[in-house]
Amino acid sequence: MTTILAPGTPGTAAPAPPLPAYRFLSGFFQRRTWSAFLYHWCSLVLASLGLAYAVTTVSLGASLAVTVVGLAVPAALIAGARSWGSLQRALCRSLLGTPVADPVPFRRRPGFTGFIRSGLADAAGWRAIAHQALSFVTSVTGATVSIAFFFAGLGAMTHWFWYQFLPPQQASDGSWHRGSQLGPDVFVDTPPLQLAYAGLGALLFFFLWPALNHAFARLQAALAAGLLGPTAASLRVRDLERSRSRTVEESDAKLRRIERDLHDGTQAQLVAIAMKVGDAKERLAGEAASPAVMALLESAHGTAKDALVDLRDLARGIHPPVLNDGLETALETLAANAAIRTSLICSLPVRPSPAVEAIAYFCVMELVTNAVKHAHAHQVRISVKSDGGRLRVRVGDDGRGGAAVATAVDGHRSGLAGLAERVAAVDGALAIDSPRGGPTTVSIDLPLAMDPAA
Amino acid sequence: MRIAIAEDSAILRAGLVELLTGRGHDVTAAVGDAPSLLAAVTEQEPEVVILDNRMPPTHTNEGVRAALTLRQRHPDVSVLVFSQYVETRYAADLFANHPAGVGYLLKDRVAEVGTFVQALERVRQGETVLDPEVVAQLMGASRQRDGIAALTAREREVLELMAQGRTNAGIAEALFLSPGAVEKNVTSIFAKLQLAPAPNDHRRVLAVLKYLQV
Repeated sequence: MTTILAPGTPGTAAPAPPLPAYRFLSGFFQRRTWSAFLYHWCSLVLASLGLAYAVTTVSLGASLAVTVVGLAVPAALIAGARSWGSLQRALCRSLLGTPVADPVPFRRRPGFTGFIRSGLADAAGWRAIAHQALSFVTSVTGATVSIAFFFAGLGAMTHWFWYQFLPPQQASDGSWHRGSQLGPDVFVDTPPLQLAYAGLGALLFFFLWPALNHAFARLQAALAAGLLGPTAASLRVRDLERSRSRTVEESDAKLRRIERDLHDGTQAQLVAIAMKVGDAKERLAGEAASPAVMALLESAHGTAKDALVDLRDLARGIHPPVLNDGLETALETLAANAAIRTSLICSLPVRPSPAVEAIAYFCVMELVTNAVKHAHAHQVRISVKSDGGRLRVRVGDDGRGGAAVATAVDGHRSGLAGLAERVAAVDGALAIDSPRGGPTTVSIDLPLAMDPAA
Repeated sequence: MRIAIAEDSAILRAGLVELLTGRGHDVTAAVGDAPSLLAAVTEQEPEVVILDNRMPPTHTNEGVRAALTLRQRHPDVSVLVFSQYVETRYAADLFANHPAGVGYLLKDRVAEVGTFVQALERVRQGETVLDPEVVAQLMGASRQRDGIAALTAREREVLELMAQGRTNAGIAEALFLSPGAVEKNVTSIFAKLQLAPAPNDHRRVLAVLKYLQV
């Protein structure tokens, strides 16, 4: 068994170098303050776009939901909202120094309705839409507050310079003043007031603005982490799927090994025994050997040959070695050996993974057997093709139909139930169309590769 | 007979050597994989080669592939391929071009020592030796189709040229095809014409006969 353990956990984002912690006193001079400021500007620009997307998706979804075809639009929009998530995660990572892990990738189910179902049920897409709506409020608030404090502080601090460009204003006592009016007859145009005003501005600009700017950046990062990252449940599902794929692959590899061991060991030994007994028998036949000894040899020879046939069937049932040469080659022999007319159309430009090939092979074998044994068919058609990352197998016969994945009424599982389980183990699907009187068509849909997400 | 053996199971290899030398044959080489066999055959040309189909490195059809190479490099050396299972594709590949002096047997058949040695002798004399299971499979494969009507336009062209007595190389030249493509067509024609190659019958001749009768 070869299990390669890569360093680090797969699937998590590469850790970014952590930013130095925010400090109240020197915050103004920290790089993170300025990149967070840039973040607020960006999120302000994006906020309205995000809200428009969310509103469009929800309202379109509600109005188009009356038809199945109409549902494709919101399904696509929901799945598409993931790109909002990617954009926001990129901003968080680069400007806020807060990496948010990617959610589990979108998994599109086969077919048109499959796409609609997977789109409408895409949790990551819905969470991105929720983020669009919520972050509209936080982005506008955060950006407004931060920008307002920035410029207010800057303005107050430099008032001593630019107050001279203000138009003169008249106080109630008739005197003229230049400078900001803070209250009735209170103008910032005396040196003490100018100094106090500049001091207040500096306080705002160097300490209060960075702190508020930082606080809103933290809020935004927390919102993104909460809504745009993977949920614990989805991560667990992904881990379980991976470990299940590994289990399926490992058990397939184990079966291969058992078959190889049988071939290299027991089978070769049995052939050697049968050969030597046969040799002995022929040599003795020329001489006057006792009939009892000849009978013994004859019986030993027969038993050895029977054992060889049994062992060959057993090994083939464990794992046909010809599968190592490809599904098509293996199915050709299967079709040629079938008891009824069997046609095979196979078009596989890409080889499926070995475990998938084995599942497809044993499914076809079982279905052809069913067609002969249960459906009393005269003809079987097998078609195997790949289609966009999926392996599609179809076995049709002209028998009497009535096949079903029987529910265990008598505690006895049908062969089809076993097939459905095998197929489901790799996230495949098995569909049976078998009206009474026939014909029967069984369609099997399997992934070409075991774990596309890995 | 001068015999070379390629069989990856040591116990079986030793058994075969013992059996054949015990019957007065000369085993020129007994090796465990195809490359060593090809080297051994070049060194001291045997009359017959016994090949296990399933050998390292891929354990699939090394035997059939080595047999095809051998037939090209040493047309005078007869080849008997042994297999644990009989696969239609391998049989079709093996008999596609030169069925004379080629045999394909299930491994179990060595148990019938007399018949097995006879089969070796027949292959050496240029006959075609087929396991009953191979015949059944090729029949099974060809049963799926109905004769000439099932041939494609290209296959008919190939068959026509075969009838004119051209070799595969000649056909390839005339139709601007690769030799491999011609071979594929020829194999397909044999299957479609339901030509289960009985020993001693040259399928090319049979195919042409069938064509001329239409």
